[in-house]
Amino acid sequence: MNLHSFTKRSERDIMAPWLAELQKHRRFTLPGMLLMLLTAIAGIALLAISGWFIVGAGITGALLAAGAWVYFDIYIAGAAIRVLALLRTVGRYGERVINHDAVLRLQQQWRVQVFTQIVRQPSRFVSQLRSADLSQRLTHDLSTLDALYLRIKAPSVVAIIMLIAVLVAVYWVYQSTYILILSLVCYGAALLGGIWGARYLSKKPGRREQYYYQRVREHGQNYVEGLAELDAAQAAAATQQDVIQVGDALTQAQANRLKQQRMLSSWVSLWSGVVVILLLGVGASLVEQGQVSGPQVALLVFAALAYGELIQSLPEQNGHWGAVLQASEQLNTVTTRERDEPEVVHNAELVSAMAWEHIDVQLRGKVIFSNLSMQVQRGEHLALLAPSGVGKSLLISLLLGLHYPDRGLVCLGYESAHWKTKLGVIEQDSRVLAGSLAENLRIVKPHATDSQLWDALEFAELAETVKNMPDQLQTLAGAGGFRLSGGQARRLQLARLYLQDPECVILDEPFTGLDRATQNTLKQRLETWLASKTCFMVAHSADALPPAEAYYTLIKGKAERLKT
Amino acid sequence: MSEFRREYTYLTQIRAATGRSLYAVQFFALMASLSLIAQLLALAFALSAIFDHAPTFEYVQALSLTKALATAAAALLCRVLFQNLADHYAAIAGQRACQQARLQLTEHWRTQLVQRAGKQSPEQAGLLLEPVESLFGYIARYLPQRTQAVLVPAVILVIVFSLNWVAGVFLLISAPLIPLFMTLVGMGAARLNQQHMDTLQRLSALFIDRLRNLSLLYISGREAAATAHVSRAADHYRRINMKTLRVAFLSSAVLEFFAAVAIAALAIYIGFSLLGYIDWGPSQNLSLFSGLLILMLAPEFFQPLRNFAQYYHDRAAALGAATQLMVEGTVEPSTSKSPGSLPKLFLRRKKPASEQVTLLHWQGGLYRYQPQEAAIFIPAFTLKKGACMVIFGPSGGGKSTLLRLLSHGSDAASFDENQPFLKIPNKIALQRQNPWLFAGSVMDNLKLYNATVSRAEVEQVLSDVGLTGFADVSIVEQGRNISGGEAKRIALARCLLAPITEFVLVLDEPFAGLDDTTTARVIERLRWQHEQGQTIVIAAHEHSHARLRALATTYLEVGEASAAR
Repeated sequence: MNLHSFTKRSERDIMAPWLAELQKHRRFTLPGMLLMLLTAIAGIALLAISGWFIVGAGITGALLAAGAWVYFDIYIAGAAIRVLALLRTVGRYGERVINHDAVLRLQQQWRVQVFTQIVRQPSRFVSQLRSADLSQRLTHDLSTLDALYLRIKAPSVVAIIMLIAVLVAVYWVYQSTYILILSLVCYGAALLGGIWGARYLSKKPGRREQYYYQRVREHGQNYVEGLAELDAAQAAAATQQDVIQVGDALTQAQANRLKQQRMLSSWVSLWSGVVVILLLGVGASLVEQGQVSGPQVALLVFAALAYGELIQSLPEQNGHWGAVLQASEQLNTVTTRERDEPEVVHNAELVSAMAWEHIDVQLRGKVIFSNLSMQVQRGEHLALLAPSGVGKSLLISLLLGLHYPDRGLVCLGYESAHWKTKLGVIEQDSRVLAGSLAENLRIVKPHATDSQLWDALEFAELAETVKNMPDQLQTLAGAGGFRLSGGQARRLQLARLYLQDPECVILDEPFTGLDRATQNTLKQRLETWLASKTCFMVAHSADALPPAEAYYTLIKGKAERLKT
Repeated sequence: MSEFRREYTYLTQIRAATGRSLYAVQFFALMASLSLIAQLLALAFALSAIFDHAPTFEYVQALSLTKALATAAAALLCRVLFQNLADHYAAIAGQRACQQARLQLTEHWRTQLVQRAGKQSPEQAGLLLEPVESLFGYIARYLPQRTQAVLVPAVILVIVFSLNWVAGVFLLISAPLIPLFMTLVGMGAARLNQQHMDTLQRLSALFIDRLRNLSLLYISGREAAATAHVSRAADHYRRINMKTLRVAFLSSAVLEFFAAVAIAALAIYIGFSLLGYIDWGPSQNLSLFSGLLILMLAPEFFQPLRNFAQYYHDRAAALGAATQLMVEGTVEPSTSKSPGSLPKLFLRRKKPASEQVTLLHWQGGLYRYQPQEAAIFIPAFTLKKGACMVIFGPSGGGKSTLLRLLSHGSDAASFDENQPFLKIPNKIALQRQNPWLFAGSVMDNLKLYNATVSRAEVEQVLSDVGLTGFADVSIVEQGRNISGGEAKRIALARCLLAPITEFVLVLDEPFAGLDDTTTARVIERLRWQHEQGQTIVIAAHEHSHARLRALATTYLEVGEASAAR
């Protein structure tokens, strides 16, 4: 990520999808916007009419005291003041509830949309994107997008509409184009700074802030993950300092943004203050000339005071622009599809269960496979033995459609609609979801009964361990849950596989982290269980696997059969 | 309020770190408010002067219309200036608070290493962000406003009373209702906010977990179910969030209602008084000037209270954050430990370097992660300098726990025998089962313990662990583009590169997943390093190679036989 600013063109492109989304959900947002406008009108009218009423009352009172007869409708004014006061309060409450509800609903929809996009591109996300980035995109960026409507769009629109109303009032009372233009210039300057100036200036700090936000998350994760190693080496303090430093930089970036906002609100206060003084000064001379009445001047002055208060918060609100822009840009990269998912031929008519045909793959500039071809026949147990790091797991990724071959064809002998149910995989890394052990097992068979789960655990030599856990099957595992040891996590994978009971099995170093006794027991069990299935397995040596009918190895990027 | 006592203690502690900047904030904020009052005074004078109603106050009598307008303009400028100064100091205070919170949190994580082993998920780093940031609002906005909400209305009240006591009484009556109601609502809001924060944190954790395990979801064809799960969680979050917001909005609506009613009532009272319809009390003496001034001051009387209400949610957020930051147990009063200082545990044992020095002696005991959890028996042993201790035992039997204790130590509370476990008093090169590799090249990772290591040494050690040609491979977060086995071997290589005299090696099952030739090479290298005088601790399965047995000078059996409940 860099800290450069956006160009005008790209800015529009970045925001386009999100503005379109807002447009699409108008029915959520329009009532809130109207209520917001109503509240603003009530607020300004309340003060203006109060000012008019008091000055009017003062003058009338003086005349009455002097013995003159004048008509002054106190009841209408009084009633208007009460109604407006109530309207403003109720309107504000309703506006906030409706607007926030609308925005939160939108946010939820967006959240699910983004997640769906990610799930649709597994190859890209399994291997490429950092999960810290992703989690940030999904939570923080989406929360940031709240501001687009709530803080940026709606208040600015309301401020502009109200400006027109105030200017109309000014012209109507003073009947002077000159005054109209002067007020327009002053308010124009205020809004220019408060809306567009705030947006423009927020871009850089917004970027900085997002940048450091991510740095804090990365450094923080690094610190948490590496704390064991760092603490053991008595080197934790330096990394801790890093975390504190990026944290400071983040807070500093935020403070800078706030400072700019402060400057801009001062700018807005100054200009709106100038209008008040201007209207008052001009009003004085017009009253002297008898062109306008005192109450009318008061009406305008108070309206101007109230409007000044309304636009006071614009810089703060529009100051979210930079962050919104940045968040949209990042979300756009997640939701835009880069390329199609890797193609795997699925066909139940194929003779072999799995086949790799003339595969070329290069990684990090190193040839991993060159014209590799291999087939696993239906019912066959085929083992691939090779040292770590030569691409055994990559062959599996190719088969699952999680990696692109540079050239060649990957075939799976099961129809595309059902291959996932027919295929069971133990990946090289044990997968433990945050959730209960039961959830972890049921992922492959949602309607499995508890006794089926226990059978599976029994099979994997894990039942005893789970029985001793505080909540048995309901014990929470994974991030934030019960700490499963490496071997326990491995056995959980085996239990999951047993529960799934697929036609075809893929095993990647299935016994890592298990002691020899357990390994032997499980090897025998797997052998019996595998008897009627197709199986492709990989490991660094034959004794880390159940017995196979054919053994292969990888030599110079090609699969070669080993003589047994 | 007592339920938040611990949170308050925490916040007070954080506040103490901000020094004097908060006083500056108070002073300048008050000056800004006084300037505003002066501005309104001048405006009210100017308005009433237009209609020839001589103001009753002597100090404004001297003003002409022009002077009044000029005063208003000057007061406006002063107000802007003071407000900026106040905000400036508020930002400084807020920054200091965030810094202190991050310091305490990271320090706490470090002291809790063994107890929370395996529960330390990287998502915890999220605590450094939103929860810490919410302290900024509390310090920079809420606390200053709390004082302003008392001072400014008091000043205005004095002025209004001097103009017209009936109007003063109006304000006086409506004002105390506001904080009263606020407190009631605010207490509920604090609890809701806490719930909101928890939900957000859980939502975040769910996302990150599902993404990490995306391949499992994909292979099992459970994408739709996972999406539905995420959708449910997001919906739950939305509901909780909306609940919090409703309470917040309701409380500010009540405030506004009071303010609006008070202002409307005042306006009507003043109007009727000026018309001469009210003929009791001070109304007969009410001038247009005082009427206008009171009307202008009335919103400013409520404004600090409204701001306070708004920032009250900063307080609620901070309390919520404090709870989260404290679940982490951060409160360690009176220890403003600098990050550089070392925990006491291993300061106690500093020793001269000589042959056969005892690094660590343990007389055996039962360890528990949590009081109610099953205990793990750690048998007695003595670790001498230059020894090679091999720890055998079945998987899940406590080998990793012992290695953690050796690396980080633990206080007495975790042991049934109530004795502390001191860590090995040297720098340790630790290889865990799920090692930590940071983003960067393999080369960068290999330099963790020894920044000056040469390219040739790196190539050599990589070939020893069977990773020839890996030096320039880049590692993204969590070692995504390298396999689990490769990651372990990189971590092993990293330990092998640590300076022999400075570091003790602690290796957790270094040979699992290695083929025979590589294992032989690694053992050969270990033997050589051992001969150079390096102390080595290795955890392994009992069936490990004969050559490892040849290397060992001390055996330790950990596991089932000795496990007790």
